Parts: sequence; C-alpha cells; structure tokens
Amino acid sequence: MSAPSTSQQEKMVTGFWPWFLQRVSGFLLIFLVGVHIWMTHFSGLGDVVRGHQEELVLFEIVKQRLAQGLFIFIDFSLLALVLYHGLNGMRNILLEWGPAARHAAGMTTGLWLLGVVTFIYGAWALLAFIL
Amino acid sequence: MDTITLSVRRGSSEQDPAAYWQDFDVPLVEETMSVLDALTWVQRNVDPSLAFRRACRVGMCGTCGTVINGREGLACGTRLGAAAGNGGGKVRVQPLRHLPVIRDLVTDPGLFFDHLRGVDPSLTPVPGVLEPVVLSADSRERQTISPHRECIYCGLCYSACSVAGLDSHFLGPAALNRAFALVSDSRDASGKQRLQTVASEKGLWRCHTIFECTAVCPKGIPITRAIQGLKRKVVVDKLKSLFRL
Repeated sequence: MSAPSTSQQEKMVTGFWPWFLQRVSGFLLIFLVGVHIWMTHFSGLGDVVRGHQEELVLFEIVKQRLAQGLFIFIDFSLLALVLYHGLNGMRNILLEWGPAARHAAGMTTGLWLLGVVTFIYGAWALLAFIL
Repeated sequence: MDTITLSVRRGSSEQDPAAYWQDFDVPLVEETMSVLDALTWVQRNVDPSLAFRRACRVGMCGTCGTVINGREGLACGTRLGAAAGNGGGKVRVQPLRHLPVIRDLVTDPGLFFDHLRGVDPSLTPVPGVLEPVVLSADSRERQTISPHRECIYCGLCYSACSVAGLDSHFLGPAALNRAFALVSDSRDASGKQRLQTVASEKGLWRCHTIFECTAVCPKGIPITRAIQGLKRKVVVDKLKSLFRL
C-alpha cells in the first residue's frame, strides 16, 4: 500500500467533470422535474375535476404539448439529464466497490453505453408523440 | 476504589487469526484518569508486553490515537470513567483503522504520511519576498487558514474516514486539510500545482462529505469545510481556465 505519486495523480485529473456535472445536472433537474410533475399531474386537473376531461394524461394532450418546441426541448433535456445524473451517481457508488474500481475505465464505458442505449429507447418513445 | 474493565484488542496484525480481546480490571485511581493512564497501568502492573504508543500525554503530539468504544479518540484525551459510562461499564480499545497493525494498539502510519507527502505539505515561499512575511491575526486570510494549521497528524480522521477504508489510494482528510491550509495561504507559491494534485479521482472527488473526519478531530478542525473549500477553489480555477479569465 502506497500513496500515488504526483505524476500519477496528474494523469488522473478526470474526477472534476463527473463531480461538477453531477451538481449542475442535479440543479437543472430540480426545475425540469418540477415542470414535468406539474405538467403531468397538476396542469389540467381542474378540467378533470369539472368533468370537461376524462383523464389527466391522454395521448392527444401529450401530443399537443410535444408539438411545441419548448416541451420537446424540456423532455429531451429531462431524459438526458436524468440518465446522466443517475448513471454518474451509480458510477460513484460502484467506484467504492473493489472489482468495479479496478476496472474503472471499462465500467465508465459500460455505463456510457447503457446511457446512450437508454436515451435512444427513451427518445424513440418520445418521437412517437412528435412524428 | 472503583474498578473498570479495560478490553484491549491484542494481536500482531489486522488479519491476525490469533488476535483476541483481553480484559484487564483497572482501578479508577482518580476521576481524571485517562484511557492512556489505564493502558500505562496495565503495562506497568499486569502485562509489560502490551504495546501502545504515547509521548506528550496532553493531547499535543497525536501519538496515542486509538479507537475507544468504536470511536476514534486520543487515549490521553479520553477519560476512563466517561468512556466506561458510554461503553456500558467496559472500555474497549483497539488500534486505528485503515492502517496496518504492527502489534496490539500500534499501527504503521506510513501510508498516512505517504498521502501527506503526496500534497507537498511544506510551504513554498513566494520568490523574491523577504521573510518574515506578516499575516495579521485579524485578517480574513489568517482566520481562514488558522484552524486548519492546528493539525497534529494523529490519524484519527484517516481512521474514521470510510472512503479511506475502501480505497487506500484516497489521499484522506488530513492531507486534504493540509493542502487547503497551504492553498489558502498567500505566502505559498505552489497553490496551482497543489490544486492539480488534490483534484484527482483519488483526491477531493472521492470525499462523500460524511463528516466523520470532522467529528473525531481532537483539535476541532473543520476538515470537511477544508475539503469543500478546495472543491470550490478547483471549480473556480477550472472555469477560469476554461473561459481564459
């Protein structure tokens, strides 16, 4: 057991961006999740209560919403940020685990691949409302 | 005279299969008696082979750090009677965690000091500035760095840090605290280089802000604040270099 040398540490200056972007994504998610929860569960609640609308979430309503550029941007941003924040958090946890930490580069690549595949899957679901 | 049971972990290494807990009945000679006094009493009166470290006996040297009833503390600064009260009448003493055990309560602090050396713990004078450089006691800079210069390098924070336990390459709280004290000091010329050193996966970013280091520090140093302060400095430095400010 020995401490890493300064040169070794300099080569490993990779920890800043995951740490910094975790905080930035967390901060942005507070707003985006707030918008998402409001639009999904509260906006239009009055119409449902008054009987003007059968259910809160209907395909047509979501389609109307996603016809606006702002909501396309919000939903795609939400998808990307949730995936980044979640998988980066997972990476941080896995780094505490010996076998994963020993293969940190492979693990990070694996998580990026998982993120990209999941993003494509999520985007596909969103595009069903848009196209 | 009251008697208190002192339970000491005996063994030659952390993984020693023959390691065991040995109980000693120690007379509570006076209320101010410390755990270190009890260990010394055992060594002098019961078992001279009991191994532990000590030097100043007044909480200045940081030599007698141990884990007392599951919590890191200086043996000289922990009252036996109070510890017995917290431990249900028994005081359990074991060596510091995350460092190799040499024998009984004696650990090898080599790794701890290797990490300290890793952040270049000595002040690099600013070239061309004549000594002594005065930093007035009431200046904001002095008030920022002063608490962080109180470290006695006892290793209690390193033992209490769960990240250090999981990864022996993690620099640890004491080294990061020292780096913060130097980086915040205008008399030091190696700030940028030091920030580079601590801004690694094995440095700052591994700290999960658990506050264990701060909780056990016998000098009350806000170590977590130092680590957070370093993170802020690195963020500002990175963003400045990114936007070439």
